[in-house]
Amino acid sequence: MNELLIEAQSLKAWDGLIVDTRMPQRYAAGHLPGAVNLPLVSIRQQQGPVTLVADAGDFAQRAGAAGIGQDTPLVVYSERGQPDAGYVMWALHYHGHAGVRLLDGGLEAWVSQGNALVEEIPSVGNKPFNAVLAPEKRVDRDWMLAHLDDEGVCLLDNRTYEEYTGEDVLARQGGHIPGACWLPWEALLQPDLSLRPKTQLRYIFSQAGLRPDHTAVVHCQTGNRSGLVYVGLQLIGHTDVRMYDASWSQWGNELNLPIEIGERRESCIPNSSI
Amino acid sequence: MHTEQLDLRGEICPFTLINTKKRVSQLPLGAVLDVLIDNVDATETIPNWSRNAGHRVDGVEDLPEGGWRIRLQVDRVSS
Repeated sequence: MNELLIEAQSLKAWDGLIVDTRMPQRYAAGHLPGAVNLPLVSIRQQQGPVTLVADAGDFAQRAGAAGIGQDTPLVVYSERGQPDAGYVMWALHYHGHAGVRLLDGGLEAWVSQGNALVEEIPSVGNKPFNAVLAPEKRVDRDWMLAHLDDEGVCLLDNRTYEEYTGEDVLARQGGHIPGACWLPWEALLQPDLSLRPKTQLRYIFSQAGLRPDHTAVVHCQTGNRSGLVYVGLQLIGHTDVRMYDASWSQWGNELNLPIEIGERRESCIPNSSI
Repeated sequence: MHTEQLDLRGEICPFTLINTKKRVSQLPLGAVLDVLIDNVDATETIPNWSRNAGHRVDGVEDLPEGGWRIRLQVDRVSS
């Protein structure tokens, strides 16, 4: 059994805590039996246009209030490919919680097997969450600037092709971080929204330019979409995976930072014909 | 003037923008679209995308119940 993923059919026999990472109104409309709600947006902070993961104290307070201790076995899930659940898994890892798994295929996998959703909200007590940061899981703008020409780093941009090339502009400027390779987050998913098998994931990452010895850095607009790519990299056993969580919400809004527009000269566009 | 509302409360990135782009592409020139959101990062991404795509942003307003309303006017018909 994979320790990062859990199948829907195995979830009924599982005795840890299930965490729904969707927005509160979607959770209230129907969730997995026993699931608590830790919305993605509750563990982030906004600094002007920049979206970041919450400070450690706020994160610990939010997690604890949802009944999550630092040792509580967790399954996180969401829907529609689960970018937010992936982000929450990354944030839990960054705050020192290692025992978290993703429901493969998310809510859709649960429902497709004939399982019901419920509106009942479970009663869970507040748990102490002692955050112990894992700084090797996260990078900031200064780290990025210092490693722009570092051949040991592979930067994976998980936005759409139009965002990557600069045709779609979601910040003050469009384009991508110099040297970034384009790897859209949906490329990791199968039609049923479960993650692709490891062999396919390895192929996709290698096509995107990633070598096993690279420090892999993922980013998108605000980190959501990169959450799922983070999970994919964990799944194939890539050893050094980091998130630039400020992502394009910071890089694209600071006009003094270098950018590239259009396709990268040295092509690293993955072959989608798997 | 064609005016309508797109309620995206409960949605997160990237779905807020995906849904906004889809609806804008279906509207006629001059149509007004009020996009309702409760995810703060969309107060940046939707107006930035809209302006760059050639549409008019007529403001981002706080909603009394929480969240925001972004008023867009379609100024360019999708090809």
